[in-house]
Amino acid sequence: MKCVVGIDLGSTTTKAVLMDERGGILGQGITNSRSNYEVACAVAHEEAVLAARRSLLERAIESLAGPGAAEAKAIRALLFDALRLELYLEELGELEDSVVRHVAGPAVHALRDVLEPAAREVLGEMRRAAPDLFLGGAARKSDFFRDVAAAGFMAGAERVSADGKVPFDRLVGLFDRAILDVEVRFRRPAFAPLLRRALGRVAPENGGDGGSARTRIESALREAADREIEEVAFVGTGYGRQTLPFPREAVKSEILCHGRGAHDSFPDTRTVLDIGGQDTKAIQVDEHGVVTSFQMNDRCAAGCGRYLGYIADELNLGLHELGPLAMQARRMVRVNSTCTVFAGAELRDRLALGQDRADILAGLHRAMMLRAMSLLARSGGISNAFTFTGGVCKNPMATRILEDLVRENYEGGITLHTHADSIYMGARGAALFALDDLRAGRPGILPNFGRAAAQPAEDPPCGRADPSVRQHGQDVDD
Amino acid sequence: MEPTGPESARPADPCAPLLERALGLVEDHTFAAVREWKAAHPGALAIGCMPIYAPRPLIEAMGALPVGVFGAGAEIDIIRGDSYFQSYLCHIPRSTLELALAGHLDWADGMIFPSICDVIRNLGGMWQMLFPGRYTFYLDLPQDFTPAVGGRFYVEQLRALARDLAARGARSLDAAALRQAIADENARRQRLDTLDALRRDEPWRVRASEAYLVARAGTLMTAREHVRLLDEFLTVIRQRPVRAFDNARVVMVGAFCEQPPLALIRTLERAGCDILDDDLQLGLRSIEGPIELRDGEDPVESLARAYLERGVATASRYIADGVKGAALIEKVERCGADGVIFCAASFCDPALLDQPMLETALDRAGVPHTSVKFAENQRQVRREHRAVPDHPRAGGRVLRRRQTLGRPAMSTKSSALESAKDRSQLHQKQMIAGHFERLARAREDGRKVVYTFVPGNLTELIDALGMLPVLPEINALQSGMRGRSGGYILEAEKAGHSEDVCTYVKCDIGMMRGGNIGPTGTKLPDPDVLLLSYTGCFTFMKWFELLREQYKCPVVMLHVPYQADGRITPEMRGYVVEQLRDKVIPALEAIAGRKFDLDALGQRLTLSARAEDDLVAVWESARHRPSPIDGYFGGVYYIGPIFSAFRGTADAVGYYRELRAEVEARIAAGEGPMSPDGPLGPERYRLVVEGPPNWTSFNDFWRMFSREGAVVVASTYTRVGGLYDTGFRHDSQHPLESLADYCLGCYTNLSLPARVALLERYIRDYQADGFLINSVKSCNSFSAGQLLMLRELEKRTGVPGAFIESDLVDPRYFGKSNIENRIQSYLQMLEARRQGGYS
Repeated sequence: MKCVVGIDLGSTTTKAVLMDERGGILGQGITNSRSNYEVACAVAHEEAVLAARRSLLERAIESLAGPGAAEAKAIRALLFDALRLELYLEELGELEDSVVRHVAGPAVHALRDVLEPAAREVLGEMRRAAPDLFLGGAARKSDFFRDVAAAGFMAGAERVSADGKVPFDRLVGLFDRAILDVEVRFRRPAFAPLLRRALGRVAPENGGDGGSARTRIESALREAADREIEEVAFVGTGYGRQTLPFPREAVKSEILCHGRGAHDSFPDTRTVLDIGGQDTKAIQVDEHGVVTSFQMNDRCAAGCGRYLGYIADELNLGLHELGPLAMQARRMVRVNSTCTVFAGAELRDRLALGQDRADILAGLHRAMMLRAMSLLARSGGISNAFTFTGGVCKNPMATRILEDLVRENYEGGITLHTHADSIYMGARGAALFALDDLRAGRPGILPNFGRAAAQPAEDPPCGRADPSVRQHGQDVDD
Repeated sequence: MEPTGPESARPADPCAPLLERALGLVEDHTFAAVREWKAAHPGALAIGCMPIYAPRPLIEAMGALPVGVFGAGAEIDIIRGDSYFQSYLCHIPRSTLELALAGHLDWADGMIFPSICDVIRNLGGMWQMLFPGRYTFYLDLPQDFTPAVGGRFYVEQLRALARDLAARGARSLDAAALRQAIADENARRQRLDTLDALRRDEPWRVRASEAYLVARAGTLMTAREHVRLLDEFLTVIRQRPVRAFDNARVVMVGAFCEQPPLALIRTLERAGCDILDDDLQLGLRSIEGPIELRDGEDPVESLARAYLERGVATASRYIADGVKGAALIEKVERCGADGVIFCAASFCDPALLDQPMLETALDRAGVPHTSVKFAENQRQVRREHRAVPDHPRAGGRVLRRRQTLGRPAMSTKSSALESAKDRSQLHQKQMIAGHFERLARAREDGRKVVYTFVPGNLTELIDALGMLPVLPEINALQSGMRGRSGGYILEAEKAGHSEDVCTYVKCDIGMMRGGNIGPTGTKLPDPDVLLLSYTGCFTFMKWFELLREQYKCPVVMLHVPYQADGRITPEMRGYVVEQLRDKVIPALEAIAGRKFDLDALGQRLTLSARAEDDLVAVWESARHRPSPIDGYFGGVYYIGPIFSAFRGTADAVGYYRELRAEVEARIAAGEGPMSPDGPLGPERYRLVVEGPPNWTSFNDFWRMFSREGAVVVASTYTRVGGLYDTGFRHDSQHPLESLADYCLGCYTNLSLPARVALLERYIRDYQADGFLINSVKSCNSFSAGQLLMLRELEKRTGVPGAFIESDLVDPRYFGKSNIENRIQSYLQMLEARRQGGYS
């Protein structure tokens, strides 16, 4: 099937969207932007391809009928959790290889006898604990490998160094170096074998009965894996646009992409607020989703997602934990500065004054959203309907305060839209621009960011093997 | 032991009820007291007065209530106010606007905006646009202090204010009533003096925070009511049971406009400081002692004379004679203070530009000092990392030794690449090189050197007297283009200049400290005189005060009044002409050692007008499609000769004739302008630009436009040194008047509504697809109000605008990808709108 790709390279995360010819979302992928944009794009893109296969599989399972179909549908959710577990274990394997390489290096060689067994023990325990983490319903602070692995490694390192024989700092330093290798290395996960392993975890072989859930899923899997995904056009956008490894003609402004993505999700949208890691955008669009005016925060990142990031770091919390904690506030502490540089100092001062953590957090959220309100006013105010997008939109406190502020400052029932996939709006808009090219018969442009990201032995993951078309069908044949 | 003051006696404090009342008045952002006053005085006017100084007795004499407006403190959410101001501007304009937009200032029958800085000045213009029906008055306080010149101008303003108020229903101004109001004001002044003396003598009896409240509450009432309040306070305060204690005795300066959070003042007190004097609520103490009423003198004249002769030294007042900082040292001595705390609002240009000079004076006198910065709504207070003293009694809690901040390394590599050049540009290069050669030889040739500014420069006059001009802004921008400015700015910041203030100034100071090597690599001669053409920019005044400290040479002030109402009045013109005739020319004659020749000036003005004709033809060529010029990036080269040393010379006439011919040839050939990469490709976007360019990445910035096929058809920056395309020409028949009109008409001397009107005209006349505002951090004169200009222009023209932020010569404030991101987004938006949708 033909599809187009949109990639949004943000300061914190990189997002990719695969869209079919009708404008339907086939798959979405997200990864942290790390230090290598090419890898980030390649990884997000690959995730989106994987997700597209997953959604094809879901559709195939959904259409099953007859013996085993109901059972197959019942284990579907668990199957996809198991798939993520398998992906995690694959990366963990790479991490282990990387640790072994680094422990032999000159920097820590003298401590190798202590560090290597300790690291192996920690990683072994992480491997053992992984099924619980993904299949046991436990809460994870993040879906990114770096974050999940770091949390596991830190906990393990504390444990193994408790007796003082293993130097904790050196062990963690080892992790820090090793994780960089994993992050800047691009892998192309093979969908079918991974999924078969996942299937083995949730539906063990039971004798080859053609009606079993496993057999039915396997046949659906073949259908999904063999389906050709033909990427015919591509558009990239995002904060890192100037350093993007995309052809110049394939780059669209993030303002246009965010406006369009939000408008596509909610066609009555006239005002969009997007709060990302480094910038906040207030965008006005017309009935066609065309941007009529926009404002972005000035050079400093005060009041952007990064601000919450610093606060989370200061409190040693996950970013996604801030909102729920702030929701528990009984009163809102008044905070007048959203200066990112002073965020930590402000927080410590207030904690030292004995103010409640949740109350302070509520105040910080409010200060941040007040800034966003000013930016909205600067761009021409809020018109109905109003769509809130970007990473911060996932924060329930931010959304609640925004609702309150809109009610207090604008008359007459403004509808506030938020979307579970709000973080993908920029990539979605980019994909829509690529779709324009497809529909207009303009020559498709495909990026070559994979070249630097790929392992030497492999083909460029997203390069132009054939001048304009990249096929993924063969990837799952093994 | 923690020093305690009257707090320990609080249970029995007889002052508490009165202080609470004062606090209630000060913190009430709804101004209920003013509303009550108006209800009790039907038909009477209430006039809001921004800091610092307003002629309150005149307002009171007309039965109106002058009301101090000092922003909103920390207690209200700032949403709409923030939406009009960039983050590098101070806080008081945003909270004041928030109050007004929320209706909290709707009691005001008028607002007075005194000339204390460019931000408050431009706020007045914003008021005119946002509240068109309401009366605003820009009080252009004179910077010439002679009665016959500055005094006359000021008296005329006071009379104009009185006429305006009477037209709006106030009692007409009557000499007896004004005498009475002045007497009331003097009574208030006397009580405030008593209070100040009490603070100095028994600081444990009355704290600065309390004196502040009692003084500030008085800005919401008549002088007579305030006298009653002060009398009551002075009575109860003496009954307050206290015990003396030994604190650090300090003077606090810098918070004369935006007021610090009360908590900050109290924190300083709790930290062990007795603040014996300060410039909080300076408006009530702007005149030293009573306003003298002479028999037979018109009391309006008395009021003006008091300002001229007895106005207190403060950052927004030019110190014409005497030594900078002398007043502060005298204050320190009078108080017997141990040190000084500089306490300025963040981004307060007057205070922060003044501070290094005051610090130097204090250092010389051996007075220790430290500094903090604040915003009125701030809970956190920044202590500046360049403090001095260690007072034993302060326990080191407030005052610390000087620390040096590590600064980020900065590249000195030039970002300005050699770009393709027109023949006229090479000609210009030779002209400028020639000028610097003349400067290098100035001493041996016996020519005197005048440092002066681009806006309001008097080049023909300087040339007629055989002197040579040096323009520090041009040196700064040249340093920026050559990649030197970053280092110079750091040098100035190391020497105590705030990171908040104008980088042209800091670049110049840094260059001076590094030997004053000019753009051609030779040392610039020291100035024989600083000609302070104070036109359209507050910072100019501080800049030359700073240079005077260094060069110890005379300064000649030419105060050019601001066109607040969008027109040049005969009084303004007369004031400038009088200064030229009575002050500037005699002073320059004395330095030049030769007599001024009016004919010689006239000849030069004729040449000026000729060059101006050709320049206007060049500007107007942009009406063609494709435009043969870029009126901004190319335009900054076109203005080079006429804005600097060459206006009024045959050289300039030749240059502009050549330039015009080049442009006409391009029109004939259907060609566009040059870009850094050679001739511009197809013209895709026609833009108008407001604001100065960034100089440190000038060509990178230009390429962001030229590579997208965007050409600038008109810009306002190219009008800062003279606005010629609205008809003005230098005129040899009226030499001094035309010099006055030239100065008064420079772009940054126009009111905000006039600037919007000019931009609107450019957008329409040049058929622009869009307009862009490059808001530079350094230049408040340009920047304050630009967000309103953006909205207003979009509303009036339907043409979408873009807004980006950078700086003149500070490379730290040029975020290339950030700016490019916005510009590309904007151009793509223009394209999508042109297409009417996506496809």
